[in-house]
Amino acid sequence: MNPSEDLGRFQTGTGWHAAPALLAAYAGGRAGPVDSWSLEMHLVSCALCRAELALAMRPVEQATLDAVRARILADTSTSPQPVTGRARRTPAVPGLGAPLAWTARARLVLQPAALAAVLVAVLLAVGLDLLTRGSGPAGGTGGGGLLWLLAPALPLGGVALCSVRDGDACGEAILATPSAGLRLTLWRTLAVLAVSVPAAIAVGAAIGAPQPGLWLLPCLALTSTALALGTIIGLERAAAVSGGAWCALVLGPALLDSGALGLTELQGLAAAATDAPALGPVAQGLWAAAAVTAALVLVHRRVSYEHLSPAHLRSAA
Amino acid sequence: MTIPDFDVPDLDPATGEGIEMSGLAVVVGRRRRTRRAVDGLTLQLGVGVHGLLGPNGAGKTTLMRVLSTVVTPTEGQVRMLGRDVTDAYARREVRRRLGYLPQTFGYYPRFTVREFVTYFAWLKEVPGAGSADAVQHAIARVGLADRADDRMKTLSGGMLRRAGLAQALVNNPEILLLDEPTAGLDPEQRLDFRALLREVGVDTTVVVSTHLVEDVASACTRVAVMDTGRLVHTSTPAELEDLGRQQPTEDAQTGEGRSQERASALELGYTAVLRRHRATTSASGARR
Repeated sequence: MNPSEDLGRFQTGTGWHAAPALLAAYAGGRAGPVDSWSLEMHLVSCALCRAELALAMRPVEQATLDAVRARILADTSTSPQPVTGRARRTPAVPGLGAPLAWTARARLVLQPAALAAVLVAVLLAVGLDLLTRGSGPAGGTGGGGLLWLLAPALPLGGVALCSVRDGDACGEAILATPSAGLRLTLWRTLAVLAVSVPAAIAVGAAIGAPQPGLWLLPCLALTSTALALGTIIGLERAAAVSGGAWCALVLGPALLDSGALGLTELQGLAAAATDAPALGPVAQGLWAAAAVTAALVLVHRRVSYEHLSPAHLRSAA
Repeated sequence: MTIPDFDVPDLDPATGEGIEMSGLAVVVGRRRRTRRAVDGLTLQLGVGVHGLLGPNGAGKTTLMRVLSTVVTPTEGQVRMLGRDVTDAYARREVRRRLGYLPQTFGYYPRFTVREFVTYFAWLKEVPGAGSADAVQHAIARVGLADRADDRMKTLSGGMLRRAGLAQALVNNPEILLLDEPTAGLDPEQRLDFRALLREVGVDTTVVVSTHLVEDVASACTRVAVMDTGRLVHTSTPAELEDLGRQQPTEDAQTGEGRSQERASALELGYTAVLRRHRATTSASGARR
């Protein structure tokens, strides 16, 4: 390196470079305007001189830079709070959004209130069944007949509470999220069915009800009808309507025959449960058709589950 | 000198397209008792903090519900972030970039704050990899970091409100809608909240519905006044203050401190704008 004093530059094999004296003057803010401009022009294209300038600034600036760097590194190694608790322990599922503890997820999809409603419905049906067994005019049946007849409507108690817009404490905030609407309602309904159908089958088996296969299709039809009707009148009311319709269909004929619906009529119903037309082979075809129709209506009107229900709007100022 | 590699979070720059409403009307109520809660509203909102002022029943909450896409307008168009939200696909896309704190906001008593905010991160489809950090950041922003693992039933009303705010912030939204957010906060929390609003409003379209003029005075860059479903006035808070100072009123000089004076000037401007609107509507009603 041969410093050339006159221009503040020296020449190497590849071209001109700034002299250390000029760099030191520039770093200290003592270079004249002309020298500064020419140096800045040169720095734009010359990495070597930029590195030299950095060295020239060392005595003053480097100490400050080092201190700042040390502080930043100290900050970054301590300041992001380690996330403790469930959020950290649960692995993220790709494509499923944020990791959420499975207990929390289960609690959100299968809501405690819906679970309780289903259990109450099953217990009521079992109670009714036990009440009507034994001392009937037919001299006692195998039992389980009434439970079997009412089984398709049992999940409706829980399905009624599956709508985000009608029943959820944070419904309005949830509706404004991309996951809201029919998707979340369907997941919740599925969770209710996944609990209540096996429960009804197990209880039925325990008390000797007829084979459960026959009430699965009506159950599906009633649930999808409730969901489809729910797009118009709200899911809670729709579940009540389709549950009521099922009870009318099953219990109605006995009521019309004898003019009353007492213990003896119920016992008669329970005894003849397997002959009930609502669960017969012709009816099964109709239930399948009803389920498909309701599903089509539901898909067509699914937007309804994405918006606030009219009840909210009435109460709002 | 070697520089260590930092994981810099990839922040989406706000598009700044904001909200455009034109001829918006919402009819609420049933057959016989219908009412136009929002009536012919045309308004554009860009990046910044917009205060939505109006008396009770002015249609503020209904408007917020339309903007949060939970209510479909009866007439008119809403474009959010440059998209028409009547299209289901566009609506989902907008909802991913939306934060909403409703006026009435329930909570799940057995959830911790972290679980609650994580649940909303999940609903808003915040990518799994960064979501634990996003949740922590949102909770820290509203000042609940020390209560993050407490169950919500142990929180006070103001804390629940802030948990609701954390839920709205967790997806780092480009549009943030807050309906009466300062209700239930004590004065100190209100100051913190307004500081947070100013910070968020740098790159986000924030709409704050309120009936507190102080909120507007201290945190908003624009103010829109609504009455009986109509837009009555839009300006900066300073312009509304100027309007207030021009009002010949006996209690104009009662303000003690500067901010109180500002607020009272704003208050006067606000009432003047409302009075003028009511005078013109009743005059046109009399002519008919």
